[in-house]
Parts: sequence; C-alpha cells; structure tokens
Amino acid sequence: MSGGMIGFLGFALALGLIALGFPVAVAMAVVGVGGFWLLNGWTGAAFILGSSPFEAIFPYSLSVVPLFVMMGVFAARAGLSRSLFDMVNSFLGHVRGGLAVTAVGACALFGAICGSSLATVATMGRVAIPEMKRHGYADSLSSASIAAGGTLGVLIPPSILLVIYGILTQTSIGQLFIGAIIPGVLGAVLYGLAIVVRVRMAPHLAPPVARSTWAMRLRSIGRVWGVALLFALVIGGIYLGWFSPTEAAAVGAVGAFVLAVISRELTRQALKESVRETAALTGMIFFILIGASLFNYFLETTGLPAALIRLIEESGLGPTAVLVLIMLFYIVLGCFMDAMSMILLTVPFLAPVAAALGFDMVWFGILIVTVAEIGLITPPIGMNLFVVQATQPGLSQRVVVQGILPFILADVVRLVILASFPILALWLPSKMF
Amino acid sequence: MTRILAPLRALVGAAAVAGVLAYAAAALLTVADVVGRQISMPVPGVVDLVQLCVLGGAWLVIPYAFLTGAHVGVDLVVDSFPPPVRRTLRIAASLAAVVLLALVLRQSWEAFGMQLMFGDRSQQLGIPILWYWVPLLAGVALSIVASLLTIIDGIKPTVQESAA
Amino acid sequence: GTAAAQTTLKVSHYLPPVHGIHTDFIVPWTEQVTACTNGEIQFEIFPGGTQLGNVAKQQEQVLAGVVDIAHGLHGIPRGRFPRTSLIELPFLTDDAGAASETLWELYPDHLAPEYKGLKVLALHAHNGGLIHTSDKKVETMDDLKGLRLRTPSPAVSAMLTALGATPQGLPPGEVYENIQKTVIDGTVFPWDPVKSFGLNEVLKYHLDAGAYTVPFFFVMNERKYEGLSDTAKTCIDEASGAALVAKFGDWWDKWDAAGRQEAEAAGHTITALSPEERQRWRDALKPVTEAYIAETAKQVDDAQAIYDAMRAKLAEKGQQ
Ligand code: NA
Ligand code: NA
Repeated sequence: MSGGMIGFLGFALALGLIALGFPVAVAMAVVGVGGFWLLNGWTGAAFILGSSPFEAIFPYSLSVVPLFVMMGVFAARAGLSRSLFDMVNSFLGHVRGGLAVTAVGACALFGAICGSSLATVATMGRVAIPEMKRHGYADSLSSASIAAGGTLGVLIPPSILLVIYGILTQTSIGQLFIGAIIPGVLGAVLYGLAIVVRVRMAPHLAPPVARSTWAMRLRSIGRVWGVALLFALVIGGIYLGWFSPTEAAAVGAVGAFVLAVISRELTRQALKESVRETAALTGMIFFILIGASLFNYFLETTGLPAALIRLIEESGLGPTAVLVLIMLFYIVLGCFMDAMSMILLTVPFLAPVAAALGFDMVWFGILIVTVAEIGLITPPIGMNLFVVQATQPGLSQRVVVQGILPFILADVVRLVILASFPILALWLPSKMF
Repeated sequence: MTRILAPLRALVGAAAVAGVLAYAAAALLTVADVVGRQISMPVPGVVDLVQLCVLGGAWLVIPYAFLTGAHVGVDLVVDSFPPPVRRTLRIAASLAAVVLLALVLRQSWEAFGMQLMFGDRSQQLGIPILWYWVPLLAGVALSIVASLLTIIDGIKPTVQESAA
Repeated sequence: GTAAAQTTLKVSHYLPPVHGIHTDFIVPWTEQVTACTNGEIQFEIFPGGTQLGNVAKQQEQVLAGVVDIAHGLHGIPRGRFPRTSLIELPFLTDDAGAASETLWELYPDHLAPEYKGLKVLALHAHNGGLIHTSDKKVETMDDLKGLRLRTPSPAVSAMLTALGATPQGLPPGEVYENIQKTVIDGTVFPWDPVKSFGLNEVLKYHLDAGAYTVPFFFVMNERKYEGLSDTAKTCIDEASGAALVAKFGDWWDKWDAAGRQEAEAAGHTITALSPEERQRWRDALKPVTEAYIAETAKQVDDAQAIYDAMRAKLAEKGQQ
C-alpha cells in the first residue's frame, strides 16, 4: 500500500472516530500516533509521543492564546462586554441582525491585533454570544457569526500567516500586509451582507428591539468607557510601538482584570468562574494543538499532500482550473489542519507551481491565506466551529453548523471576486512600493 | 467511592488554578517588561519566562479540560444513536484517551530523561529543563486520572437505570 | 541488470526549502550520493516548516532514528555542544571558509567526544555576523548603549551585555514584527537571514562588526551508517568530510551577498567597524571570553586548550 493511500485511510479513520463522538483532539492524536507507528515503527511513534506534548505548546507566539482568553473572560465578568453590546444595541438594535453584524466587525478588529483565529473565536465567543442571546438572537446565528468572524483577522495586518508565507516564498512581507487590507475588509463586508440576507429570510433569528431614544444612547455611551479604554490601549499600544502584537495579549489580560476589579463585579464567585472558564477553554485548545501536531507528523510521512500537489502540477490544466483545484485542496485539508500547519506544509510545494503559471505571488499568498482560513469554518471538521462550541456550555455542534452556511457562501463569493480581480490585492501595494 | 474520588477531583481543580496563575504570571511579567523598558529596566529573558509559564500553565489546565469534558467533538451522528450506544462510545473514547495519555506519559518521561542527560537549559536565561517538564509530566498523569474519573461517571447512570 | 536493494534515507533540516542550505547544499548532496550508488540510496527530505523541521530537535531525531541524517544548529538547544560552541566567542573569526575548515580539522582530536552515536558528515560556520538596526545608527560602542537587540546565542548575549546593549532572545520568525513595532531596535545576524526573513524592509543601518560566528552540524545516525553497504558508505564518505566542508566558504559568501545587495539596492547605510573601534571592543570583551571559557571548563576540562587550538588554526588561515 502506498503512503498516499495510508494517508487517505488515516483521514477516513479520524473522520469516523470523530463521527462516533470521539473528541477531535483524541481522534487526531490516536490516528496520528497509530499511523506513524505503522509507517516508521515504534521508534518513530515513541519519538513523536515524547516530542509533541512539549513542542506543540512551546512556541512563544502561542502565548497569545491563554492571555487573550483571560482578557475575554475578565471582560465578560466585569460587564464590559455587556455595556458595549448595550450601546451597540441602542444604536442598531432596531435593525434586524445589527448585533451580529457588529460582532463580526468586532471579530475582525480583534483578530487584526491578535492574529490567531482560535484565540479570536475563544475570546469573542465568550464576550459576544451571551450578549446576543440576551437580546434574543438564535444560537445558530450568533455562534456562526463569531466562528466566521474569527477568520477575518488573519488578513488584517499584522498577520503571522502572511509573515510565514513571505518567508517561505521570499515575497515582500510589507507588500503582503498592505495587499491584504482590501481583501480583509471585503470579507467583513460580505459576512455582514450574509447576515442581513439570512435574517431577512428568517426574521425569527434576530428579533428587533424598539428604537432607543438619544438620551438612552448617550447614557449607554457613558458606560462603555472601560471597553473603549481597553481596546484603545491594546490597539493603540501596538501602533505606537509600545508593545508587539504578541505582548498585547498580556496588556489586554492585565487591563481587563484591573477594569473588572474597579467595576466591583469581580466577586469571589466570579473570580472562581473566570478561572474555571479559562482553564477549560485553554486546556481544550492546547490539547487540540497537540493532537493536530501528532496527526500532522503522520500526514507528512504519508506524502499525501505532496502527492496531491504533484497531481495538480502534472494535470496539464490551465491556470484557472489549477487555481480552482488548489482552492478545493485547501478547503479539504482545512478539515484537519490549522491554517499555520497547512501553509507550512504545502506552500513550499505550491509556490513553484504558482510561479510557473505566472501568478503574482502577493496575490497568490493572499488567496492562499484566505482559503486556508475558510477550512476553519467548513464542516464536518472546522477548528473555529469547535472552539465556538466550547465557549458555550451546552451549545451543540449541530446548531453551529446550521448557522454557518451563509458565511461559507459569502467566502466562496469572496474567493471568486479575489481570483477574478487580482487588482483588489495589488492596487494598494502598487501605491506604496 | 466518593471518599477516594473527591480528593482526586479537587487535585485536578487545584492544578487548574495553578495553571491559570501561571498564565497570570506570564501576563504580569510581559507587562512589567513593556513598562520596564521605557525606563531602561526591562525584565531579562522575558521570552524564556513567558514560555515557561505558558507551557507549564497549559499542562496544568489540560486535566481540567478532560474532567469537565471541555474537549469538543461532533454530535451530529451520535445524537441519533440510542442512549446505551452513546454511553458505550463515550467510554470507548475516554479509554482511547487513557491509553494515548499513558503512552505520552511513558515517552515524555523518556524524552525528559534524555534532555536531563544533555543538561538542557532555556535559551537565554538558562532555566533548567526540569522546570518545564515537571508541570508537563504532572499534567499528563493528572489527565489520565481525569479521564478515568469521567469513565466512572459515565458508568454510573447505567447502575441507576438498572436500579430504577 | 539486477539492481541492489534500495534504501531510502530520511534527511531533515530546519531551513525553508528556498534557502541555499536546501538548494545548493542538501539537495545536490543527496543527488550526488544517489548517482554514485547507482540509485541504491534514495533520499526523502524534510525541510523547515515540516514537523520534522523543528530547529531544536535535529540532533535528537537522528539519535532516536526518526530521521537518518540532519542538519542543525549546535546552539539550539544551548549547551549540548560546549566544545564546538567555543567558536562562537567574539572576534575569533569572521570568515565562513576558515571557520568551517578549523572546526573540521579540530573535530577528530578535540570535538569528537560530543558527537557520540553520530557519524559527522560535515561541520561549518557562517561569515562574521553584523549588527542591524532600524532607526539608530551604530558605529561605536557608545552607540550600543541601551539598544535592545535580538541575539542568537548565550555567547553573543554576553558580548552585547558587555558592550552595553540589552540582549533579547526571540524566535527568528518574530524578529520582523518586533523591529517593525520598535519593540527591539535591531538584530544580530549575518546577511543571509536578513534576506530570508525579509528584514531589509524594516532595517536601515548595518554595522559590519565581523564579531562572531555560529556553528552548524550535518550528521548521520551512526548505526544506520554502519548498516549500509560498502558502496553506499564509500559514496557518502566521498560526498562528505573535508571535500564538503571546503565548499561552505563560497556558499556562505554567495548566500550573504544576496542579503547585502538587497540592502545596498534599498539605499541602506552599511558601515564597517573601524580598526581602532574593533580593538576597543576586543579589549572590552576580554573578560567575557575568559568567563565563558571558565564556565565551559566546568563541563569540558580542556576548554582553554580547544579555544587556543581554534585561535592557532585560524591564525594559520590568516584570521585575526
Ligand atoms: Na491580524
Ligand atoms: Na473544515
């Protein structure tokens, strides 16, 4: 049996276990270790078992995950997010779906600073979903808005994925950053449209509230100074060069804690629950990273990704057909891998193919990062879907998946637009460099 | 039974608190460095310290995620199965996790021994590698305990059902 | 004809597949061995970015037999190759060719004890590193005062501290954003990674200090090597050792030239350390060197002798 075949079977087996209700991380880890054992003997399996639990968590850039989660948990406990959503609601509450559109915008903004989809979803899910629920929004709409919104941040600089792509392909990181802005904003606008259309079709998903008076609005503005201060500090600090995006997570966590203390809402009980939430949510994310690392060891040695890319390369198809195949390939691969692993694993093989077809490498990089993120929200297995589920005890995966379809359609529209009009990614860089 | 199990649950909970405190330490150290470097008093080797706190913190909270069933899965198919089948599958998944974690514990112990033999230390401050591995190994061991606890919890309803 | 049974060897390294280490060195090396053995030995390469491309795991992977051959940095994790790492001490050498040959010539008598279980195929070291900064031009020791600089190794950290700068450990992939956000003022690197990490976009000044180097290993699992056919062993030996080591001087010059040309094209200021200033730095760094050797001597009795042997060899090659 060829390595590629074993790779396919491994995919199928992991999918089967997950369908049978195995936790995603456990299914990936079991198949990864078992498959690696089969292909490389016990020595190989022994090595990855002793290596992944350390190395998958060790990278410094991952420190944003627990710290931004803490920021989200404290912000929610302190009532910061409540006051924010009350304010938004006073302005937009009479517009159907207005809160969900705002949540997507907030995700894009937050993702822009944090750079990690998982951390964005974990943080904003904790902050925004209970608030939308309080205003009568259906779980399917609110959870899907957050899962989808979490994918937007990677395109808005700074973006660690674009840095990695730039290093792997020797493309200007500055041009990638600038070029990604319009596609990122386009993504947010299309998600907003998806919400508006969806809610028009099914109005019960987002009940409107009575239009607020200006007095109520002003009062609600008066209450959001805490959140405003926190966001201004975190975002402003990065742009003023006080701290790096990675360090911003720590500033945000400490800032949210201080605000929670000042607000006097951080009772002993609330503190206990904050600790519990942080522990459960980050424990689950980190264990998924370990499971994914074990699975990726296996996938890599099967040679499956490389074989699929060779298939694309040797197909003799034209640029458009190849581009479509590459997109499909990423969406399928996105079932199992986080965007970072996918890019590290495939871009070295794909970049020469793209260059040979005469693709502009800045445009191609932005497309690749966009499509790699879409894999995070496509069922049956999308990391963002799982993380958003984990932020709400009792939320079922079925409900999340029910709500995600309009957003996937919006992404397909975005890909078609970006693929058809490279100018959207290339116009800003041409003005700046 | 509960007399043996309650302290184990409490231990997993205490580890989770320690883990979150480690995260808090990472946050405070980073903020101290951000402020400190404005006045030429940066925290030396802050990256090393943050990595230690995050790695240690992560492994101390992972058992709690096992205990509380925070690990996400797909309920689309399973929901249509009858309850006894669902329970059996849940127990099978927990058993798979126990076997996996036992192998992880054994091989992590080996890897730790090897790095100890090499005398490994952190890149900038030279923190002994022991500091990283102790929370990791404790976390793996506690995750096994937590998974076993969930298996016991999973069996219990069956007993009640048969009694009813 | 009847072909001999094929063996596939796994090779791993931590650099991206666009890097010269991959394209100029490792891929041609594997092709040479495959051709020499008439196809008996095949290779599968795992570059940086793959799971097996973790910089900190290269030596362990070979020892554990997960891969057969690996190229890695002696300094990560730190302290595993105390003998070889003495080459990192300030102002020993600024020339990749001389440094690489020196390591290889000292290997049998002085460095061998720290390569147990490994068949050493080559050792090499990069050209003298520079101090690159974004906003603050550095020409003298006084200019370094208070600057936050990313450093690659404990030896370089000690050097920067002694010169008045603040060393900051940081993964190479994070250097770009930290310089861009002015969290650090610059970085210590040879020219080559400045280009591969895209750093010329955020840097403006480059001080050619030629103050330090960093060593690299290219090693094979010893048992695996012993188990190969005689033809395979001969072919690997022919492609490796002194013949391979001799190529690194030109290779590093080529890889570094690309980074320097990029900086020149962007109109950056490139300064060389003046001879008087160089002497000032040397004097200031003497205690650092002595302390580092004394520290190494706790693990390696003949640390001083190895350092002296390195100096003598390098002097023969016209260094210092
Ligand atoms: Na971003
Ligand atoms: Na997916």
